[in-house]
Amino acid sequence: MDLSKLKADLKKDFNSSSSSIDLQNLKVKYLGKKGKITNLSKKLSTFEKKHRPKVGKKINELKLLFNELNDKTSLKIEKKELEIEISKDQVDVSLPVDTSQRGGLHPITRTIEKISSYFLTKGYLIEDGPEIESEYYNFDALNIPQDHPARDMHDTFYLSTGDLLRTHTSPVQIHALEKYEMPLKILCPGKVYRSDSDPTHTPMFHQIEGLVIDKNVNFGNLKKELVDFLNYFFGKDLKVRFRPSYFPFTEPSAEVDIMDQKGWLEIMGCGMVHPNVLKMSGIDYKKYSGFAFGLGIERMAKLDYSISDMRILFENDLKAISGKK
Amino acid sequence: MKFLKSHLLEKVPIRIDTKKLETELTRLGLEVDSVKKFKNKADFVFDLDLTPNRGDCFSVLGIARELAAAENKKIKQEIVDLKKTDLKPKTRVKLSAQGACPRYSFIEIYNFDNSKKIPNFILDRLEAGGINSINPVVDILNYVMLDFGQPMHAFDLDKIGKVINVRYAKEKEKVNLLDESTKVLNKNCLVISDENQALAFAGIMGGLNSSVTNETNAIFIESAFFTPDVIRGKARNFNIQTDSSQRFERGVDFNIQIQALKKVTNLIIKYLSGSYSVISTVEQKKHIPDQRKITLNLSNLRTKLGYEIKSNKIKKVLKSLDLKVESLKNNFLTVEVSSHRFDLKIEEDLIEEIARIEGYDNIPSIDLKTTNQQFRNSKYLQSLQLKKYLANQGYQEVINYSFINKQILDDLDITHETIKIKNPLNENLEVMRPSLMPSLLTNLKSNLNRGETFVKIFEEGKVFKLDSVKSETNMFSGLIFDHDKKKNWNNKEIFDFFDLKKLIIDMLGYLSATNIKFMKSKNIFLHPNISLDVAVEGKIIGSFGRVHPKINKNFGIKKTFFYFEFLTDSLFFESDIKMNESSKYPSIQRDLSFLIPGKIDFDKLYELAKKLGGSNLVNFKLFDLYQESEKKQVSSYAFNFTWQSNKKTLEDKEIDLIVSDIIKGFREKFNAKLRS
Repeated sequence: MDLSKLKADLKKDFNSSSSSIDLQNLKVKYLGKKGKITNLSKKLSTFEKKHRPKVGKKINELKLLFNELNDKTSLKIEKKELEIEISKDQVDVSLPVDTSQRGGLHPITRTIEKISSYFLTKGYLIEDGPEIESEYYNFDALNIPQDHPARDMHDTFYLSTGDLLRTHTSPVQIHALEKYEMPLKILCPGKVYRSDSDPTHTPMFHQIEGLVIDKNVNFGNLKKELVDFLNYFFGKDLKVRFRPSYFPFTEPSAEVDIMDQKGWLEIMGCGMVHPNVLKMSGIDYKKYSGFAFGLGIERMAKLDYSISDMRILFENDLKAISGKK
Repeated sequence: MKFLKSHLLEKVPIRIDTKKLETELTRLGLEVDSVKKFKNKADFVFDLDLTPNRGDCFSVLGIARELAAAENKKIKQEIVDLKKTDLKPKTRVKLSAQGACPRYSFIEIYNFDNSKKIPNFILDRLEAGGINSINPVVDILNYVMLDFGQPMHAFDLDKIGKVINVRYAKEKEKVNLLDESTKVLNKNCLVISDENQALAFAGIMGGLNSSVTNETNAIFIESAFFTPDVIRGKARNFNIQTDSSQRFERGVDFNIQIQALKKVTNLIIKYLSGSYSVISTVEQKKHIPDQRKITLNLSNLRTKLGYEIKSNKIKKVLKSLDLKVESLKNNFLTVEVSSHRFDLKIEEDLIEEIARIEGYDNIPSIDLKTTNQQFRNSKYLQSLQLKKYLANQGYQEVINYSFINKQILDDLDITHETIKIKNPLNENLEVMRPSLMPSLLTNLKSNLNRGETFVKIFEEGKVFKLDSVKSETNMFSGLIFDHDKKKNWNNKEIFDFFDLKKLIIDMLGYLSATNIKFMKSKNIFLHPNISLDVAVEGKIIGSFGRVHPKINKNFGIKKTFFYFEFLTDSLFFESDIKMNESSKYPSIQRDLSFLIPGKIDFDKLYELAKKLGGSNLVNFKLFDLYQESEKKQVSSYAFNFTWQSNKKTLEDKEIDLIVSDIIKGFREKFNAKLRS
């Protein structure tokens, strides 16, 4: 048997194989039960004893060569076969998908979430309150007696039941003062109603009310809390101004303005809770003090979503509120 | 409140840039609504949006006081003096209404010429103040009101009786007012009358019959202090608002009546000539407000504001506001409130005054150190979670007004009593919605009109019912209309009842609901045969299904659509998820197909399969269903069963036994034939 011919055949065979089936056939041809290398091994005993180690070594070398060629060729073939397989998988990935399902939260909900998520981390409890209120909770308990000119600022909707639709979220303050032990930290988002309709007013809109009652709460605390919040909401260091104002249920009272491109922009109202409010709800006003703030969600949403006509928010045109074209 | 810049600076003699003046007034809490150039002159009209507590700032004098305090300047005091006269007024005044009019001053002016011209500076100031020019006398009265804040009224002396009486109106008493309207008054209304009739609606509007015209040459001028409580709300009740009522209901300086009369008289004599009587004043002394005293504890001031202001500075600020600082003893400061400040009642009011003049900007920001509220599981977060779930399923959240048109309730056959709005904006917004359905339907219709063929919306909100216990309930509802046949090349599926059922089951699963039962629904909005109620522990918490064809008909919607509604507060379950280790042993699956005749609810098949399948049956699926023969009403059901044990490897032999039990059971109970 010519070993060098066998070696040359082996090389030639591997060179001409092009598929994994070819490789399997080569394995049978050389290393199978009747394979050429196998046969050689079987014949080893026929050699003279002194030649055996040399021949054995040669056979071994052939086996090693086979393995080496096999590994090399199979890598090449696998790669080639994968390429062929991939070339068969042709999909037009530029085909469109169905995006008609315009799911999403209403801008008002998103704005409430943005505001609430801040105050939640500061330990405020989110409270819900009734939208139908009595005169007591909406006005009297908030230090707005009957016929007080401040009532003129609220264009109130009255109901057939004798009650009214709350004109602000402030009544939730009173319910909370009655319901909970002090100290207290609450945030109340919700719908409010005023008899008004034009591009900047809708008869129903949303407010968020905040109330903090504890020992030794001061105006400086109120300033810090609100400035921090506004910086968070608008995502930048804002120029903020507190300016004196009037709410019957706070004293001192303030409006908060922020500076935007066009100048000062009124953003929320706030103040130290009026002692009369605490007194009426049975809180020891000598021991506890606190602050309250309220802001209009629509106004915040308007700034965040560049809405020009507030009424769009409640027309629920799917294209408009989803913000998609 | 509108006024000219030059008018204000006449009282506070400073040079101040218009922009700076605007900032200064705003900083004081006098919100500047607008500043406009006045005509072609080098002057500006300031329009202030006054808060209801500052009645005193309804005058240029009042605003001047504020500005002077802020600028640390003295206001230019106007000394108004009237030359003596011997003439006694011909009219007598009686104050019959106890407490309603504690002070009433008056004067009579004779033989003046009301057709003369008055100077332009008065007319300009009135025009800038938004007050129409009527005739010289009225213009002068209005000018002094703008200047001092004291509303006054002139009666034509020839058209009134000898005795003026300030009294409450009789029930249904009529008065003809200057605006040519007739008001029917009640016993709470204060009037100025003579012996015969009511001449004016006191503090609100004068009467037509006794009004001053260009021909008038003798007048009776009233300059009164009416108790704010008596005037409050009256103008609003009668739907009139006047410069006078606005001032009286907020409180007019109770010491300025005579000053104002003097100024008016001087101006009339100066420009219209004539003679005048002495000024007479009638009073109910005990009803004149006290010069109120407030004690300010300086340590309270520090606690409230969060920083210390020196007592000298405090005194200075209070004095600059025309408040009399009486004494400072052991940190307690006693302050006498001047007669024009009706808003200062308690210590906190003084604290605000000091903070205001010092500037809110000077109050330091201080970190809030409070006990944190316990973090309770809030409904808000749960409902937000639910909204986000639906949004991610392709649903758009909508928010609608809580009030709706009454007609839509009739169209929906909602018959129970609703809560109505007494003063709706318009008839489309007159009833508080008893369900979210009307709103969602309206949204559907308007979006269909805009050409949408695919509408999946939901809303969370309160619904309102006339109920003595609980009139508002939180609801969560959704509506699905899907007839978009051109969705996409790879998706032609149209939403059906079972898509809805899957949505609801997945949603409830997401909310960790357990022990849920479905039952036939009686919801009036839903198709009686294609709908289900959802019950938890025997309580119905919601319904879903195809919308009742009657609604399709009544609302002109031809195609089918779906609706669901849930009681929001019943949708929040305690999460009870426990991790289960998965079984280490292999499972065995078998498919069985049956031909079953007649109409049988799947629930029944499911129950039996479950029962016969034993405790190791971990999954039971209906993977194919079709009607074999329409005539004979035979349906073919293909089930896939999976068994698996936590304790051992199940053997084919034991499953074979169970399978033959199932086949036998289905044959006996449902007459089912196993397909080969």
